[in-house]
Amino acid sequence: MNEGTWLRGRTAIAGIGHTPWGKRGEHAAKGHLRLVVEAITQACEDAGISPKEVDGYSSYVTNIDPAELFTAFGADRLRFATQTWGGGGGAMGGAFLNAALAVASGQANYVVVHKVMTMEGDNRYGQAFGQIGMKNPVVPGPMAFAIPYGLQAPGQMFALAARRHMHKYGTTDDQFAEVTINARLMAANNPEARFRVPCTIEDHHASPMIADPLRLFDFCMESDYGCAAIVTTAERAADLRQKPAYLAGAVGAAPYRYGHALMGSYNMPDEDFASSGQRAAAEELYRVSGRGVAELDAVMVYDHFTAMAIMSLEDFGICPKGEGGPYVADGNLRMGGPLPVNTHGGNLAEVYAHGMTHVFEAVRQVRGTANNQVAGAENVLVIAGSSPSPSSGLIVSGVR
Amino acid sequence: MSANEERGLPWPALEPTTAGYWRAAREGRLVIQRCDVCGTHRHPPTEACYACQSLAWSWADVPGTGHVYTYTWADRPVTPQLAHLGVYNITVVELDATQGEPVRVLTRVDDVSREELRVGLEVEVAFERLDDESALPVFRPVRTP
Repeated sequence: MNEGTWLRGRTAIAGIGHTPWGKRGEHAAKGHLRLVVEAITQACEDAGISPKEVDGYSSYVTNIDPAELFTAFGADRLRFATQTWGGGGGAMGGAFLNAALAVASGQANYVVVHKVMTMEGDNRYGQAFGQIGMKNPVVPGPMAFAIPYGLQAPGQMFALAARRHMHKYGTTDDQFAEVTINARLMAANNPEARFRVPCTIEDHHASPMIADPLRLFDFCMESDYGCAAIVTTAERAADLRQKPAYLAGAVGAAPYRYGHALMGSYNMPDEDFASSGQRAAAEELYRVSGRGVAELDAVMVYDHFTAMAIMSLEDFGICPKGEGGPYVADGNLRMGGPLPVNTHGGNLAEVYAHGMTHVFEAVRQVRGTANNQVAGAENVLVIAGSSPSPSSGLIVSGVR
Repeated sequence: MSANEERGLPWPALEPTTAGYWRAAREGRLVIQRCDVCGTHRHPPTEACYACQSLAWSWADVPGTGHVYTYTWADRPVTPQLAHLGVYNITVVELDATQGEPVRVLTRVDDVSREELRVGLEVEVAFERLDDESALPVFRPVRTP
């Protein structure tokens, strides 16, 4: 037996749920706790269990307290509570890993992975570091080496990697545009998606430059949402309402000296600077899952920025390093291509929910219920956001 | 009062492992953390040497020259309060004359046009006073007369 493969296929996502998607600030008045409780209720309904049966909670970069959740639902006892590190949506796969470890080892029966955000006022993600500066003008830690220079937003941070990638590999803004074009085409068939109008290269180039070389149409939207997924053992999942979406693998990892990445490090090896920083996560995920690129049927890649989605595809070996630009421009992301990407529309066109919607779409693909269904989809790779260490990923599978 | 406060920007906390960087800049020196055992430079400051794992380190003066590694232009102010800054660049500079893996700092290049700022541009350090105790190292193109 290979080391690290014990967890493979032992757990499954048995239910998914979310609030209606909101534009930034739209759901703020409800409060985060209400939104996440609504999402958990939906996910339990989807799975066919009572929220009272949920005895574990796992999240990432959250201020939601499990004490509130299990008490609200009247669970007999709370048996597992955790969250994990990483920025924004980078840690998503780590939250699923923790949930899977908990149920596979018998620490808990049903662990909810949850995430909620409202982006009103000073919670706007697009202004993230500017807001830090306004809330506390004296910046500690590694970000002290960035924010005081006017690096105020994720778009500016990732523009540094995009520019380096263009310099090193000749990547172009026409190629960035294709990521948005594909997202809009997918979203056109998704009634819940926000941006369902087609986009052309000309539309992309006409959108305002925000953080050179990234334009408005290279940025994802800001959204309000509550999301939840039920993780349980493969055996329990088989007896529930939905076809199990087995976790072939889930990992959180970062490569050598990747540190806080573009939020305050800048001293990783050159190859990883012009990347999504996910080489380590990719290698670990393929190792523990026993799956490789050849076994994949679709890819859901975190697309907070077009350029970073391209780099994530490279880091996960979907195409060779440095060839991500030509790979997307050749139409390989689209339905009918060798490996359709972001069949829900992604962060660029559906909603920005820090990676949870990419997992949801992978679950729908293996259930066979996606709006843009890939025929016979069995293994779907979900790539979390490029972020401070660790980033993450998971592979959802229709078979153990 | 920090000069950055007037600009609407935050400023660095002077913490045990970082204060020396900002204080040296106030004295007009660019210093980088250097391992006392193996001599490897590292940045941003860390508590151990990535090369030999030693905890012993000192600040070491570096020449303050280097080249542009990557950059972006802040074409749109992130918050309305920053609109008065206009369009500015955010640049990563790779420094000359360090030991170990390349040392890069995030900074800004002053006195440079949009056309001139390119990967590879040679730059040298300058200092922008924040308060009596600290300054920001910034850079400008090397101009050969």
